[in-house]
Amino acid sequence: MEKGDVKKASSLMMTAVFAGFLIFFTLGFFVIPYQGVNFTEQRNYAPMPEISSDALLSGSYSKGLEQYLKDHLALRPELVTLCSELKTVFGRTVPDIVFRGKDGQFFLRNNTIDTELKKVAGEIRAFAEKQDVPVDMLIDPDAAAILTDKLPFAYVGDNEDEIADYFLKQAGGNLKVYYSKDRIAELRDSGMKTFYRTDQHWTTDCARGVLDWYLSESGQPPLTAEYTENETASFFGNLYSGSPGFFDETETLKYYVNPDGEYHVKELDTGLERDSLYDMTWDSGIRNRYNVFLGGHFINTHITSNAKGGKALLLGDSYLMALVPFLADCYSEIRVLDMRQFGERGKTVAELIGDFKPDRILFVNTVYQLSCGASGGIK
Amino acid sequence: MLFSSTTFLFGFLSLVLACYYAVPRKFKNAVLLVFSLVFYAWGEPVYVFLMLGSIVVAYLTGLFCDRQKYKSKLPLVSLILAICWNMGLLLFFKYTNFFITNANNIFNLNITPLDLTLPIGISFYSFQTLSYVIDVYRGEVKPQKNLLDLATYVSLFPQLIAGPIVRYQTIEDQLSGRKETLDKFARGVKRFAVGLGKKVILANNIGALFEEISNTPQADLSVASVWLGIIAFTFQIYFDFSGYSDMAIGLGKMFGFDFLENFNYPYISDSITEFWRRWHISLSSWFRDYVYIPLGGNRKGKLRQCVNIMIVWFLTGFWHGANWNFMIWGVYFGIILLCEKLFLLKALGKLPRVFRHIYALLLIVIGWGIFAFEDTDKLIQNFKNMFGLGGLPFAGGKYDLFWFTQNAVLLAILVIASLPLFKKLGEKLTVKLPAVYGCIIEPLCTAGLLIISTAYLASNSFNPFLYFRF
Repeated sequence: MEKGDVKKASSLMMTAVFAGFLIFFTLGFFVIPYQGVNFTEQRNYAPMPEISSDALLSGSYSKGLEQYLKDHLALRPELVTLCSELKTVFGRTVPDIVFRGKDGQFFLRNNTIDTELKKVAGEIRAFAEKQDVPVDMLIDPDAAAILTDKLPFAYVGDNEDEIADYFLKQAGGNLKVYYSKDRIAELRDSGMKTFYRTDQHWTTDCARGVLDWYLSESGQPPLTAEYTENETASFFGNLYSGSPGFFDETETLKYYVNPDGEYHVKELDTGLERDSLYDMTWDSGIRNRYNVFLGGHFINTHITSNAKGGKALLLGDSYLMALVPFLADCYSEIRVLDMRQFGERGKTVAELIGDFKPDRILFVNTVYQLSCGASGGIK
Repeated sequence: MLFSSTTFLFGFLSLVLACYYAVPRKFKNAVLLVFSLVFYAWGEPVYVFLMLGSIVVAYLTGLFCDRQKYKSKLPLVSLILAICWNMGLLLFFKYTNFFITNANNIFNLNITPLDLTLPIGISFYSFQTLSYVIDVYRGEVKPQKNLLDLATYVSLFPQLIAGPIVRYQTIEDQLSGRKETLDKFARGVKRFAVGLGKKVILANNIGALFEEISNTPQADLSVASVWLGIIAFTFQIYFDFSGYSDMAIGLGKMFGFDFLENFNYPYISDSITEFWRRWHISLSSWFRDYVYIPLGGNRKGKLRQCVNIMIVWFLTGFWHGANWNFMIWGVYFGIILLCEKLFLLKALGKLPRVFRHIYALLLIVIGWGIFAFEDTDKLIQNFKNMFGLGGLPFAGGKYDLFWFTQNAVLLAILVIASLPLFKKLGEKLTVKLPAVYGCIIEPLCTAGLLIISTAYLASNSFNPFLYFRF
């Protein structure tokens, strides 16, 4: 080829590349059907913002449109995955809140805020002092505190033990505090899978192992129900959605059913009722299987069962969900409250539970949720 | 609107390119003007009228600044009016609250600061319109009689909000007589892709490290990690700003314009004098031509030259922002440049190149240490930390090893990308393998950069642009 021809051909190639790039992604917005939910990232897509003079003048329309376009970009899941893979290639596995460790293990990066920790601890102690029944607090570590061999090189986690110690020191009167880290470490050493690879939660087996330990430590009768073991279809958990990879493997979630158990579940905030502790609609597609427990919804849920125990009020974060099917066989009546709602809604426990009189109150929280204040505001 | 946004890339740019190339020549400037106004108004609709006001003032004062035509005092009055308008706007929007706050502090007053938002790009377009009127007054350019062409020049979206400061004389002929070619368009695409990659892949990622280190409690830091943070900022600001300039120059080429270069590998400099010939070239040359030389430059003796240099660098710092750190930053470089001019450059010339380079880099990084912190307490604390006076251990901070290992590859890439290695490699390949390089390697690399940048854009929420605030 002549020099001039080469120049022309290379310019043509470059222009074609750019035109293809712009046309593909621009037309993509119009061609790809609208989706309301992003299952890979497990969140709702941003809706198309509404045009109004206020929105235009304040700049909120332009911000909303940018988020909408970002969310509905052609090949978005693949692009997000590519970005995550590149971070791994660069060795920058921890730039964000979710990061990848060894052997495909995902972790949640937590940042402790000590002022919130003291506030939450004070609120829980004040709450316990007002109660005339035993108040137990089960504090659980996250995967980074247990699966240390899978953490990236030189990773520095938060000070989980210090935070747990702080809460252990709050014990007194009718408040008892249990920190499950050593128990989970024992389970890990026994070969049990204690945390999901792609999700931040503990496994059902780990939750059961911790529950048995807690019942024994708190002097309550052991759980004697016989369960049948079940397994969901394979899935990617919440953490995978924050940092997906092309070569990650899916995993399954175990759930246990007591064939002799009879349950009635009522979501008091939505009015929804069912006779199962599980919502198996979550066991389909690429949804997060952890939501099979109570359908992932426990803002204010009342459960009755044919168990022989008394009444229990359970408060906690999402770790509590995996315990509920077992706890429903320990107590005849339980009320489950999501602690993360108190700060937001400003309601008191008394307002939420009405005339429900528990024989025991149990808090189930991860160290992180307590320390960052997400479980604060309880009255 | 940010260049590194999906709204710009897959909405605005697609549309403006399609319209621009669809209309006949005589409507092209009108298309650019309309889209530029939309681009500006996108995030800040109200201030578009301020810019239109500046355009009208520049147009009218430009017409009456022509000394060839008007022999009275009208040109001088027009020039003074233009200076008052532009500097007045800049002082009012950018510096009023700074003056109020300092007056309150010094004189123990209680004046309430005004509720002002800085109009985006005001520092850039004010300097552009000012340079136009001054050049007309000096007789270096002819006044633009076509308001639409002048408005297109001032509001031209590629350079509107973050430069480079394109002088009217650079594109005077191009406004009416430019020629769009396939070759220029392709070069524009390549330049735009490189700029986008610099911004989205490099600057945003290393910026996250700087953010993280700056927000880490003092007790968890060490002297080494504080330096790592400032080095991260050093890379962030270069790749952020030069990336934006590359995108602006590339976009200009797509529409047939040739803007002057704004960066020329500044971190390979051997002295601060050389650094400022390579960094934000359009700003330093603006101050040279419109402040330093009119003040007398080096023509009125050594002492006057020193005073002129210090004035220019104080103003350079002040231009960057209404905060003391920017003024300190400007004066800091003014003093170094003075020293270099008076004796240091000669002394440095006797040293091996590697030492000169270390000298320059060290002073540049320290300079960014001043620039990065607008909060005076944080600035002082950071400097204490950098020089071991903050009570920190030299190394072994809580996250030192982690931060370093997590960012080692990125830092290596940033170092390589700061050097003209890829440029030289490209030049060699163009000579040795013109067809393969031009038709395959270069388009593939460009496509890769565009796709990867889009992937980062889709994933990341951390997408600041440092020079918007100026």
